[in-house]
Amino acid sequence: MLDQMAADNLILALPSKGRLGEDSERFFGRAGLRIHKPNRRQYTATIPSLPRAQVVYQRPRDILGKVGDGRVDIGITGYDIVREYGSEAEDLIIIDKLGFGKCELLLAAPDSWIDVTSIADLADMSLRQYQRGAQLRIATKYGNLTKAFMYRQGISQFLLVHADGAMEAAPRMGYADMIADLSETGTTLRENHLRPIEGGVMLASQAVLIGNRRSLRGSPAKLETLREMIELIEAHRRASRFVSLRANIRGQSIADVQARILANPALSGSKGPGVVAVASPPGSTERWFETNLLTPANLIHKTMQHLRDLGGTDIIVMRPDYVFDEKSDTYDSFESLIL
Amino acid sequence: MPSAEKIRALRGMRAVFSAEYSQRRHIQAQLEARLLRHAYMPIDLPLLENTELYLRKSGEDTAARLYEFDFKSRRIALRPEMTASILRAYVEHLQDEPLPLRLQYAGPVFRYEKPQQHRFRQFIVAGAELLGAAGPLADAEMLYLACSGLEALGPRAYRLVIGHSEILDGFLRSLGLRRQLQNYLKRNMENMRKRGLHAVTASLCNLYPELAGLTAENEAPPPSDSLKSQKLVDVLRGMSDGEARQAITDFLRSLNIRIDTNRDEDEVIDRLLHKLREDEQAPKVRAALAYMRRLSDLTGPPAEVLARARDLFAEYDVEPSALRALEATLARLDMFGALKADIQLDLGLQRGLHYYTGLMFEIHCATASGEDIQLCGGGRYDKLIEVLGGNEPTPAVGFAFGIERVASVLADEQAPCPRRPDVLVMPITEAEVAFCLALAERLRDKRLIVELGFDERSLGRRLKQAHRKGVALAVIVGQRELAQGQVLVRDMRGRQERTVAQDDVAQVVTSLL
Repeated sequence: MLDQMAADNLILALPSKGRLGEDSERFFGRAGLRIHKPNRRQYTATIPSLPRAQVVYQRPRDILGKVGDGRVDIGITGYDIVREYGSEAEDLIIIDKLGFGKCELLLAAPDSWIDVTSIADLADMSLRQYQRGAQLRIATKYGNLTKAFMYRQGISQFLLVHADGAMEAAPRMGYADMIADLSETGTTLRENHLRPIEGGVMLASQAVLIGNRRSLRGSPAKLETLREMIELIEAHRRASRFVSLRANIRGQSIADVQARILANPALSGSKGPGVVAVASPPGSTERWFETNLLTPANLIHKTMQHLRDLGGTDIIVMRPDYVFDEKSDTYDSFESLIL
Repeated sequence: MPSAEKIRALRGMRAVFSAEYSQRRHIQAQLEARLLRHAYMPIDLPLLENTELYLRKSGEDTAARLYEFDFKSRRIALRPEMTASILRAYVEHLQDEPLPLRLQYAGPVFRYEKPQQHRFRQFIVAGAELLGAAGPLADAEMLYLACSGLEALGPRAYRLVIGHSEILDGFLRSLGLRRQLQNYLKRNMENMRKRGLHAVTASLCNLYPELAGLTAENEAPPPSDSLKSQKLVDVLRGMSDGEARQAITDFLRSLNIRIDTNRDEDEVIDRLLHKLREDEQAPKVRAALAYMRRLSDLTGPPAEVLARARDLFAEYDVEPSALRALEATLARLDMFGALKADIQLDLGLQRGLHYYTGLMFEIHCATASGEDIQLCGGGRYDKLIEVLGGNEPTPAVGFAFGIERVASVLADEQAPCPRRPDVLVMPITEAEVAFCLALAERLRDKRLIVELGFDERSLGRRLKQAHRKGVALAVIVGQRELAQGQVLVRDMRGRQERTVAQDDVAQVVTSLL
């Protein structure tokens, strides 16, 4: 499947299903990178605005593997998966954290363990169990991370029980004493009479864009496509923090209006106000000017009031789709990673 | 069809080629011979062990770096060090042997660490264990063996750093600190030196939220909600075990809280009681950290450090037996003979393993580029044999060298040249093969390294390849030479050739080499 694609096409693996899959698709769509899937059942898709990119659908764990060994150039998966399975993939790099799919990998114990609230309690309890000939059993699909975390906390007497899915039931069903699993809100834990251990958060996870250093380094065409994708994602994300304000203001001259707006520098746009003269209808005695400000979204009302106080009216606020900086920080730091 | 993808070596694993291989063998042979003269008998041990062997006492640092896996429902680990294996073998097979027992070993060990210069995931250690002997003379023997073993290999100046585990352990124990905290503090002694008290305190508070008050300059009052529950704790402290247990059980019943879901109710209540009654750890940790900060400065020439340490011990009212032990060991070491070592005491010395119970030491040396690296580490572990199931308490002390690291500090001229083939014996056609095979064997009997030069390529190509390999002489046999009872001897260094009678070949070849 993959080798039929043009050699210079950037191959992007997206999660085939589940929350991560839906969120990824929405994320790309909002960034202006709508994904076109001609057939629901097909495992490939295209991005019409990036004709030199090819999308393939995989399970998050396989995405890590395929990007890790370079069969796929980039992909979206969970940071938890990268840390659990990717530590030996030398060419794997994290290009960007995407800000969705946030959750925590944590240790949780049954509510009934009223003597165990902290990691220190857990350490003591595991040692006592061990001295009685039993070992603390932890159900998880994150064996590597759990083991490393426990050792770091000075706990070495425990057994990992590998489980896939429905981990929360393990303590009640009796095949484990406690669990190490992802939790977004804690609701599922509570419903299953489990409680997070204090200090037991092993990892804060979210969706990440990963890439293969080797496969990207060798292809200027792929890098160009990737740069376009990263720039759009970055500019779109930056755009959510800004609004664009446009207003008509009475005044004497461009310099006069600029000076009055700049009297409050914090409310004068990111680099100062742009002001142009408005052509007034014949016979009008007032002179009008138009200003355009790019403003942090949390300053909408203050900036609007500032303009109003200066005699401003017709104040229009628009949400930009993209805000590009003079350069892309994400791409620059990515470039330093692959060189 | 595109060529198959290359299979690369695993990260941190590597092939060792001729020059390095022979240097390594030389180092191992020297060490082995030296230890043997001190009656340390070589033993060999398996690469794989039960994971449990390393979890019992090695310390979490070692546990975290284990190559460990489940195989056929068993937890198995590649050995990360040799001492545990030796003591396991002792407990299993050698407990009836007369003590003391002197053993030596060499072989690869495996640690899952970030590969760096001088640090691989597989490396060779060689060392010695002295079982069943306690006291300063045994400690001094170890120090002397390690140092004199290294000196026989002839590196530049080196440093012997000596510490004693009881200097910190004894103090932490006397404070009555919880075991986990003791281990944590020991692990962080080195951090304290490198990153300072504040860094260690911060990471400690992060791990143990109950110690949050430590970061404040003065003793902070406990948070208000714990003040309220403190009254309840005081009440429970005043009760007998039975009363307290009953009170908690009744209380839980009256609230209809069930705690016997997947653990025994008594077990949960016992631990809860223990936890509630435990002394507050924060003041003890504060005292421990202050003491550790003082220890971290106690490093330098023995006489000076001992004098300063006596003052510190008096101030903290610590029994100075560890200092006396160090002093006695140093005096015995002197009797063994002169060493070129720059000997230093380091009373803050901690080694990643939890099993030390006395002497600890390290040997450091500077590489050609001036980087300080550790070549050797060792110490005493008198409790380990019991922990591993030994019949009776048996003292033990030992050390291990990292062979690759020793190699990295030896100057090139100290490394022996790897041997190359002395002679290449080449039949020109199939007809001379039988004669050449016999001739090669005759030369090998003279202890020469003889390679056979047969393949499809032309004579010229074969000679060129032999030259690249550094072969000194080629013996060429063609149909004509065979018929005349002669061979052609070609000196590859000067490229002269001469005809030699078959009976004289061995003698001529030997004289030319």
